[in-house]
Amino acid sequence: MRRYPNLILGMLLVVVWAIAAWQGQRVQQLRDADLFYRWIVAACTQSSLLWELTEQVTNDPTKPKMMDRELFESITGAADKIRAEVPVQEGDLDKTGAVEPKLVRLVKHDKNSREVWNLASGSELASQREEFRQYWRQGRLASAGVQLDVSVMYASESTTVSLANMFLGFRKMAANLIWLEVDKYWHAGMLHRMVPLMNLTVTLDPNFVDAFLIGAWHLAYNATASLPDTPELDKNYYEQYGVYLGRKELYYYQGVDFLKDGIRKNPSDYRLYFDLGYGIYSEKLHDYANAVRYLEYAVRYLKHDKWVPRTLNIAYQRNSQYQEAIDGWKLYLQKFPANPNAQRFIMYNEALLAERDMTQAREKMDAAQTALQTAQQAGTDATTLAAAQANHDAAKREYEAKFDLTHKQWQTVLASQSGADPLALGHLRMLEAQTLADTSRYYEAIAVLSQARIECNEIFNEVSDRIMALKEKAKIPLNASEKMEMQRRAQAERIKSERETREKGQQPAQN
Amino acid sequence: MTDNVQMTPENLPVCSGGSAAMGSAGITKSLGAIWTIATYTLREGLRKKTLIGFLILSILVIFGANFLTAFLNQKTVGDAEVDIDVKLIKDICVTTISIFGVLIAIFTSASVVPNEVENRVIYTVLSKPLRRFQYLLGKFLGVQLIVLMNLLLMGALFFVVLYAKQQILPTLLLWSLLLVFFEFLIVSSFTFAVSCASTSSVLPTIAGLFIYIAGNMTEYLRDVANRAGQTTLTVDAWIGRISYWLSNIMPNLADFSLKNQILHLQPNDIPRDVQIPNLIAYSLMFAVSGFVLAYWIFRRREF
Repeated sequence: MRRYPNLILGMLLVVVWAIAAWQGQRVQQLRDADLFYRWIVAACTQSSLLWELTEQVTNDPTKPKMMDRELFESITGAADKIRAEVPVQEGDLDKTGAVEPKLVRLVKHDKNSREVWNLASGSELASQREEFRQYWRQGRLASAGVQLDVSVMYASESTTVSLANMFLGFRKMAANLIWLEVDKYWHAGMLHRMVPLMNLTVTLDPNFVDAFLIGAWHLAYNATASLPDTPELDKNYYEQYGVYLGRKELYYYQGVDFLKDGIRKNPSDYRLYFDLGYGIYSEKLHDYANAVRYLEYAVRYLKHDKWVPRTLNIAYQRNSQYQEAIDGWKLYLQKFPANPNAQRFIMYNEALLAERDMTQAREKMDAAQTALQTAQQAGTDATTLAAAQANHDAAKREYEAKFDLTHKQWQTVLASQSGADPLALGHLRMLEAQTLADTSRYYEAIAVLSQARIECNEIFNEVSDRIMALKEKAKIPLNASEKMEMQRRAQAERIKSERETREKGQQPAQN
Repeated sequence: MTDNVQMTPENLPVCSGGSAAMGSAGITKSLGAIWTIATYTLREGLRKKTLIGFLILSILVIFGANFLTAFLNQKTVGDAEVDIDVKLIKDICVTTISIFGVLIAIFTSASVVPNEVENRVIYTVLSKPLRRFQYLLGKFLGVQLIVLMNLLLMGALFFVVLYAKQQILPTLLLWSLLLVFFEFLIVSSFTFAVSCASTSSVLPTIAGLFIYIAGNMTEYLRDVANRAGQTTLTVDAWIGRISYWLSNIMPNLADFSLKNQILHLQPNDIPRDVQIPNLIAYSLMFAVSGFVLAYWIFRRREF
C-alpha cells in the first residue's frame, strides 16, 4: 500500500464496485423473479376464475400477438412434470370439467406461496422466466399490467419517457393525493371528474385495494342512483360484454371490470371477490351464478371475514342451490353456534327445497293430466287409457304429498319465530292461492297473492308474475301497471328476436 | 509516534498507528479511536440546527397525517370495511421519513468534513498520531449514527401514531426502516466522498441531491436500454449500450421500493428473507465503494 497507494486504492475501488454491480444484477434477477411470480399468481387466479387471459385485447391485426395463453400453458406444463401430485379438491375443475393444472391448484392456497416462489425463481422454469421477461418487455402480455411495473403504462411506441420514474419512488404518495381529490369530487357530486382520477389512482398504486372497492361502489351504486332502467329499444350492443346495455347497465359492467382489474392485481384480497360477487353480481345484476362463483373462491381459498360465508349461502339460495345453502349454513353454525339467524336460513332452504320438489311434481302431474286428456280425446284402447289414468293418479298423489310436506315446512318456519316471518307467510299464502286456483276460485287466489306481495317484499316479483298468469288463465282484465309490464316484456322479446334474426343473417353460411 | 493514548482539548483520545507489531491491543485502541471520533461526530451532528429543523418538520408531518385523514369517514362499502385512513397514514409517514431522512443524510454527509476544514479543527486532529483512515472511518460511522438516530426517532413517532390508530404493533415497520437506512447508506457514502474533495458543504449537498435523483432514475436507463434498437440509427444503438452499462454499474435506489410494499403485506407476497439480505448486501457493497473513493480523495489532500 505504501509503494503504490493510488494503484491499490484504484484497484480496490474497481473490485468493490464490480462486486456491488454484480450484487445489483442479483437483486435485479430477484426482482424479475418477483415479477414472474406475481404474474404466475395472477394468471393462475384468472384461470381458476374461468377468465380468458387475453380478454382485454381486441382483435386488432396491427397489434402484436399476445402470448399470455401460450406462456401460461408452457409454465403449467413444465410445473406438471416437475411437481409431485397435488390433491384435487372441490372446485378444482376448469370450464371443460377437467382437473386444473397442478400449479393452479398450488397457487390457490397461501401456504404454498414459498413453493410457488421457489418454482418461479428456480432453474426449472428458467426458460419460461426468460420468455416472460421478453414478452413483458415487448408488451405482449395482456394479463400483466401495472401491478408488475408502473412503467408498463408507458410501454407504447409513442412514449419515450417513463414518467413513473419521475415520481422518484413516491408514486404511492401521488396515488394517495389523487385519491383525496377523488373524495373531494365525490362529496361535491362531480362524478364525471371522479372516474378518470379513480383509474389514475389504481394505475399509480395497483395495490391500493380500497380504491378499487370504493371506485366500484361509486360506479355501480352512486353513478346509477338517479338513472332509470333503460328501455330495451334504447340499449346498445357492447361487443366486449356480448350484451345490450343502456347507460345505467353499462355502469354496472364498468364496476365489474374495475373489480376484475383489482383481482388481477391483488389476487389474494378477499374483499375484491366479495364486492364483485355480492355487491355487483348479486345485488345489481342479479347474476347469482357469478355471485356464487366469486364468493365461493373467497370462502374456499382466501382468508376472509365471517360475513363472506353468510353471503355465499344467501347467493346459493338465490341461485336455487338449496342443498349447498343448507350445508353451508350447517358448517357456519358449527363455527359460530351463537349466530341467531343460521338455523332460520337452514329451515328456509329446507322449505324451498321441498317447494322445488313440489313444483317438479306439479309439472309431472300436469304432464300426466295432459297425456290422459290426449288419450281420452284420441279414443285409445282401454289398457293405454288405464295406464295413463294410473300415471296421472300416481303423479297426483306424489304432488299432494309434496304439497303437504312443503306446507308443513313453512309452518315449522313460522312456528319457530317469535314474531311473524314475512317469507314463510308469503310462501304459505302462495300455497293457499295455488289451492284456490286449483278449484277455479281465481279472484280469491289473486286477493291472497296480493296480500302476500305486500307482506313480503322479497317475493314481490315472483308473486306479481303469478297474479298476471292467473288473470290470463281466468281471462280477468289486467290493471294498468300489469298491462305496461306485459307490453315491456313483449317489446323486449320482439327486439331480442329481431336481433337474433339479424345476427343469424349476418353470420356466413356454413357448409 | 508513541504508543501512549493522548487527549486532545476535545477529549479525543487517539492512539498511535504504524507500529510494527499491531497486536490485538493495538487493534482495540484503533477501533476505540474510530469509535470516539464517531461518537464525537454524532454529538456534534445532533446539535446542528438544520438537522433539528428537519426533525421537527418531519414530526409535524407524521402527527399531521392523522388530521389529514380525519375527514375520510368512508369506513364501509357495503359490508366490506376499508382502511384508507390507515393506508394514507402509512404512506405519508414512510414518504416523510424518506424525504426528511434523505435530506438529513445528505446534509450530514456533505458537511461533516468540510465544516471541520473550515473551522480548522481538522488540522489539530490530523496533527495527532491518528491515521487518516481512522479519522475518515470514524467520521463516516458518525454520519451513519446520526442518520440512524434520526430514523429511529421518526420511526418511533410513526410507531406511536400507527399503534394509536390500529391498536396493533406494526412490526413490519421495522423492516421498512431497515431498508430506508440502507437506501440512505448508498446516498450518504457517495455524498461523503464528494465532501472529502470540497472545502464547503454546498457542492456536496448539491451532489448528494443529484446522486439521490440519479439513483432513482437508473430504472429509466433500463427502460431506455430495453427500447433501444427500434430504429436503424447508430446513435440509437450507442445510446442503448451506454444506458445498459450505466444502469448496471450505477446504484439503483428503486430496488428499495420494497420499503413501501412491506407495510401493506399481502398473503401471496414473496418471502422477505430472500430479498432483504440481498438488498442489504447490495447497499453495503456500494457503501464500501463510496468509502474507498472518499478515502482515496481524502488521502491526497494536504492539511
